Amino acid sequence: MAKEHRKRDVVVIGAGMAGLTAALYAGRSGLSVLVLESELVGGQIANAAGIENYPGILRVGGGELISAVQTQAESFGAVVDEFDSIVRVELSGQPKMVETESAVYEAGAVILATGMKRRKLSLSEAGRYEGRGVHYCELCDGQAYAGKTVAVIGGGNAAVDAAEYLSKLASKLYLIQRSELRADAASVKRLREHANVEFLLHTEPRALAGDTKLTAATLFDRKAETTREIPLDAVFVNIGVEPNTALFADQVKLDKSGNIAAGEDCRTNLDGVFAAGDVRTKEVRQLTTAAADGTVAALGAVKYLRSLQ
Amino acid sequence: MVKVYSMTSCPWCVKAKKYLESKGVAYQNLDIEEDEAARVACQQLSGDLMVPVITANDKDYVLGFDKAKIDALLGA
Amino acid sequence: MNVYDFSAKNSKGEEISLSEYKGKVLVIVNTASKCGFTPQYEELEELYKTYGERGLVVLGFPCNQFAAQEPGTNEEVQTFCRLNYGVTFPVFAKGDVRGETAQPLFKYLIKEKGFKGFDESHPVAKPLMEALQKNFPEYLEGDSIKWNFTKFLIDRKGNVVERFEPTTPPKAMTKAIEALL
Repeated sequence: MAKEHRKRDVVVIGAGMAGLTAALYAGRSGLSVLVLESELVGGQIANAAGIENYPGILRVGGGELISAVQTQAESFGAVVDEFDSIVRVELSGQPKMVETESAVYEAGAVILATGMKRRKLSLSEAGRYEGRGVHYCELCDGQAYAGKTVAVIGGGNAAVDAAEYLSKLASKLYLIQRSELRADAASVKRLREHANVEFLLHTEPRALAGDTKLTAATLFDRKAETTREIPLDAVFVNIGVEPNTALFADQVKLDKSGNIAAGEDCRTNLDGVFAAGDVRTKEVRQLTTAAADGTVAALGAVKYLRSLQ
Repeated sequence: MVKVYSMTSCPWCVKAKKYLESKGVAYQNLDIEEDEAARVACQQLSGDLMVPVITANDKDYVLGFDKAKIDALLGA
Repeated sequence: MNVYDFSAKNSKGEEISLSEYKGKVLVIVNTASKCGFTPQYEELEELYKTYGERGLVVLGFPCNQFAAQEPGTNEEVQTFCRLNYGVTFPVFAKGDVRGETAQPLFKYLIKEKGFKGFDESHPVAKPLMEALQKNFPEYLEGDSIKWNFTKFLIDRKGNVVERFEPTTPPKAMTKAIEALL
């Protein structure tokens, strides 16, 4: 069955602060706006407990702030759909196509506000142990492994800091990194002072095992090309963040770190396609700068659509 | 009757419930933070206290917001 | 004045006077459903089960003031949330425990028993101290509640006898509790 074609002036991909602000501005300019979100409305701040650096608001929960922005955007006619997943986009040319599971949207302009996400462990069985031995937040879950054997996977500053924290709780801590450490020398030195820490460099996890909870991991030594299994009660994954660009990486120009290459005007290499928020090349990634990008991208889209007429 | 074990502070629970509503599925909301009986039942069903847990027959369940799995559970 | 002069809302929103617990030994604790100290729930539950018959009641006061503010927590990469406890002792409605907006009971408790430092032998003492100095230096000032799972022990007459910091696991309070029972 052919999917229904629907026309929108602007389709915004991603309903975090940048995307919703863009929707607010575009809606207020009288454009028809659809915002698509496949995960949580609010993005990375959906769960933030207390935001104290958004001007004009002394303290607010992330969920509360973002639902206010959503309401504001909707009051100007924007529609937020958080259930329809995008299958494919076609961003060059005019109109632009955004195909979801249920429809094909023809958009005059597209605003990419897909943000960043923490990299997950790329082992198929990792999902099975999530919360049961595979963790991403040492402050949240570390205490449960006091006196146990744990591993931190990753080699950046965040990973080494997590290892430092966990080394004080765990009886044995492995720091597993597939290449060399990237963290500051000072942090690494501090970590080396803990007698219960063992560095496993040039090593990567190949498999996880355990009945209902994690009990062991198979490690591959990339230099020696050997495999061994070690008993483990938990792994804390800290392998960095990455911009969410999989959907359009083949069409939009990215910079070296994988973010969308776009300047302060939020324009990408494609006419009528704008990048806003954390996914864009930039120095400072804050709520305020995300809101600023949303504004610039939306007004850029308004101007672009006028130029077409 | 579809049951959703949840917590009010959990955004994925909110999303799962909204999803059921968008599909016109009636459900019973069971808050494992407030309701002890719900907590026990959730633990018995899934072996843990992680939510959302969605079940239609008190036997098969979906943990987390997983649209495809929820669709399969409802379709079955 | 003693703790019986205070009341708090239960999870159903009903106002409960602490005088309902007259004659009991109480452990009053601020809790959180997601934080590094959550295993303390299990130990508090154990205390409640062990000493309940002899007159101990644990009262939990959930509070989200101390949630880690950093982004990148569990829920960002998972599509579920975890309830870290399954306790049978009374748990009150969520409310603040520090600062201007603190519930009156907690303002009273910290006035009665001030902050005397963390138990440095606890493995979390150092990282907690460092995290507080870095992120919330103002939390370290004065007698305020420093973090989740600060515990106050109340005798059978409603007097605040002792304060235990988050770094004291509930099991380490056994002696002090037995002395009051």
